[in-house]
Amino acid sequence: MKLEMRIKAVIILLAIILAGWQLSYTWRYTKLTPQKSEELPPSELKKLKDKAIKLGLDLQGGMHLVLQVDMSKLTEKERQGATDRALEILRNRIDQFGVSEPSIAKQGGNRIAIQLPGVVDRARALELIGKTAQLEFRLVEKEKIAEKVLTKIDELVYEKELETEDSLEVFEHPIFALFYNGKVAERDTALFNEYLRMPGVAQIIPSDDELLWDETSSGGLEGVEEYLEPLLVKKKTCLKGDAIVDARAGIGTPKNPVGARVDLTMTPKARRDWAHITGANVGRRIAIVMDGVVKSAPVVIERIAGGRSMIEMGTTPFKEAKDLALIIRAGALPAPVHIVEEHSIGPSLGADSIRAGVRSVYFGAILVLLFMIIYYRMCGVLANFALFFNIFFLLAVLSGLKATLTLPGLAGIVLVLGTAVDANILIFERIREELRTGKTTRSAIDAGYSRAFRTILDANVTTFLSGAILYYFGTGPIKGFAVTLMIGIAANLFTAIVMTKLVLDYVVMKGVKKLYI
Amino acid sequence: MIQIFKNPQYDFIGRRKPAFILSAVVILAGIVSLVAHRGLRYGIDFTGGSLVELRFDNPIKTAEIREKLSHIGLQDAVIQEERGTNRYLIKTMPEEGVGIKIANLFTPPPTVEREELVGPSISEGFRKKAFLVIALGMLVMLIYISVRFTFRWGICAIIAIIHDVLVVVSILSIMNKEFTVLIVAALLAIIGYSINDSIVISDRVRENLRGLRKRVLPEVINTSINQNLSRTILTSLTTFFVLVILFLFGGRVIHDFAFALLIGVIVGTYSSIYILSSLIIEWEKRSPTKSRR
Repeated sequence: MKLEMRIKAVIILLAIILAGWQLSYTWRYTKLTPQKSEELPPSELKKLKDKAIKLGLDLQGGMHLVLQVDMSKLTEKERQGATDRALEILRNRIDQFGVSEPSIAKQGGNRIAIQLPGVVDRARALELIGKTAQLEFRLVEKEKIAEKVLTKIDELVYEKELETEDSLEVFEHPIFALFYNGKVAERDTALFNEYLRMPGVAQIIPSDDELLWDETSSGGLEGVEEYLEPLLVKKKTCLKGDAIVDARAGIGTPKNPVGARVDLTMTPKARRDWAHITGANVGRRIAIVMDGVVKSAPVVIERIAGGRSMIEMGTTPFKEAKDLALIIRAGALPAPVHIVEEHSIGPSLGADSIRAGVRSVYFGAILVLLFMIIYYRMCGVLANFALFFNIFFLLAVLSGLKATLTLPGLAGIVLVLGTAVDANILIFERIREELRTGKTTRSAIDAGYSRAFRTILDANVTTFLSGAILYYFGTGPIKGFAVTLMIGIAANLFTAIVMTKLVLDYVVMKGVKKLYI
Repeated sequence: MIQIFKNPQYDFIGRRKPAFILSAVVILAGIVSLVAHRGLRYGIDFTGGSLVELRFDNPIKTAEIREKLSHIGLQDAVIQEERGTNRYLIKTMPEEGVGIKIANLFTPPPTVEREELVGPSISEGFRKKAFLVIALGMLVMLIYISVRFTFRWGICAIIAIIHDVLVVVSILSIMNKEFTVLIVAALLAIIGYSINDSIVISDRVRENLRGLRKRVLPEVINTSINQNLSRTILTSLTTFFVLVILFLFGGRVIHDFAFALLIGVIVGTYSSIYILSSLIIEWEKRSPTKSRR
């Protein structure tokens, strides 16, 4: 074999292996049964899900929303960062909403795009999004009382479990068993909340208190599970978000020269109240609550008279301090948001679309494959392999780029099927023509390829260009179509010009006299 | 081996007059239809509005739905039945959460299969963008062809593309299909396909012109089209059949999209044979270029 051919063969093999590797995640993910996915460790499952091809909302069902931040009531200065603040509020709420993999992103200057995949309770989602933000400062209950309450809940839940379930399977201290260093792992919070909903549990909690989750980060490593602390917090609000003028993250605290901190500035009106509250509660914790979640619960060290407070965050990363400052600023000045665009697809319609889309890809493929074999015989088989690898590479690149597969995307694949055949038809028709003029097989292949190459390149470049324009200007679903079209064309050039050619060259080199074309 | 054509020698160029007339008739009919329908039937992407798709468990009459809608002041909503299913599409002015409101009018409430809302600011952006995208698509093609071939080819190819877009829009209007963002995507795909087809033929013409002293353009173009005929027919047919499958089995969401592409493939193939080549010949007849690449 010539060196050039060897290099080509190695490149093709590498491409196939790489694409296969990339697609293996999708394969394994789609083959997962609910039972098997429970056995898998969460990190492994997350990795699989991350690397598998993502389905667009039109295929798996879900909500796509575009919100516009209403800045009409804000002053020029307040407008700056208003979208970021609104985004932070929304992120906070959607995190509580419990959808897997929500996506929230800024779109242009004053719009926010939200995607909630899967089965979504639309009424609740709309209500959550439409609410105005609530930032409150609330006293945390004395630790002794909190401990007593938790102990009582623990005992009650244990009793209830004994009544309802087989006594052999009930362990002592169902509540305390969930704790680790005073905190509860994120995945156990659902179970914890379930215990709290048991009859009689609510009565144990003092009527002026409620249990909230403290989201203050444990400062853990990326990817390691978060731990949350259940805090017993007074229902009464000491101060509201509008008391804050500004919140800024900074570095350097009295105890730690490189520690992260957040500086709060209160309005003149709130200063007296704040001085009073802090003065009366030295040594106790005050929770900063945003939409029912504790964002920070610092201990009051001394009475704060000047309206300037500092939250020392110890060894927490600076980014967390910045996030906290942003949340506090967001709660201080909430700007209302309005829905300007919504696409919600029910799961059954999505499933219908998948079925229809996949079916048409199958049918289209079978039709084209049959046609090529009937018309071009052995070379048709070759073209079919090229076609198969075309779709194979297309899907691999799609999952590698973390692009989503949408319904128009499936239509794009069907269209790519059509155009991929074109490249092969161009080449084969040209080879046939050259053969008719009496050329040998080898020179007919060479001449056919070199002549068809220019045409294929021109034709594909123009289609690629229209795909690129679509991608640049298009929104959601259209982008999906454009992406598959562009990747498909790139894959097409590779399979038709490199792969098919190599095989034909090899066949000729082996001394085949007659080409079945 | 199987061959569709054995050494075809059809006179395409000679029949350019009937082709021009055919195109003109279709486009004229489209314009009449546009006037009669008072413009394109834009979807909510372009007009702004809310679209709710409801699935009822039991059959229900359109009149009953309209009666219920009047309770919440939506008697002017457009109600569309998906025949053969108990699904209904309801279009109203843009309103947040209108789907739930409508569903709750009925007992038992139907399933909200789909809800879309496009606010006026978004739809205005879409309208501007749709035009811009198609215009830009054409401009890019003009530049590309001018560089690869000649400026004259580029202009003729763009006229052929405009022809394609006009014909497809005409037929959509005559059939009173809805004009949505997906249709704009289809139009752009058609532009890509049509240019693709034109380039294949143009490439052949350029190749055949090379080495020819005497300028016999009409004959060369006709020969080139004939030489390429098998390829043109084969490719168009495979693409066409694949699109037929998409049209039949692709699901109702992309039904109209597939339909537009289907027309586009036919028109794109036709225009690269008749319109583009004829335009170039007519132009050359009136003012021959001095030298050709």
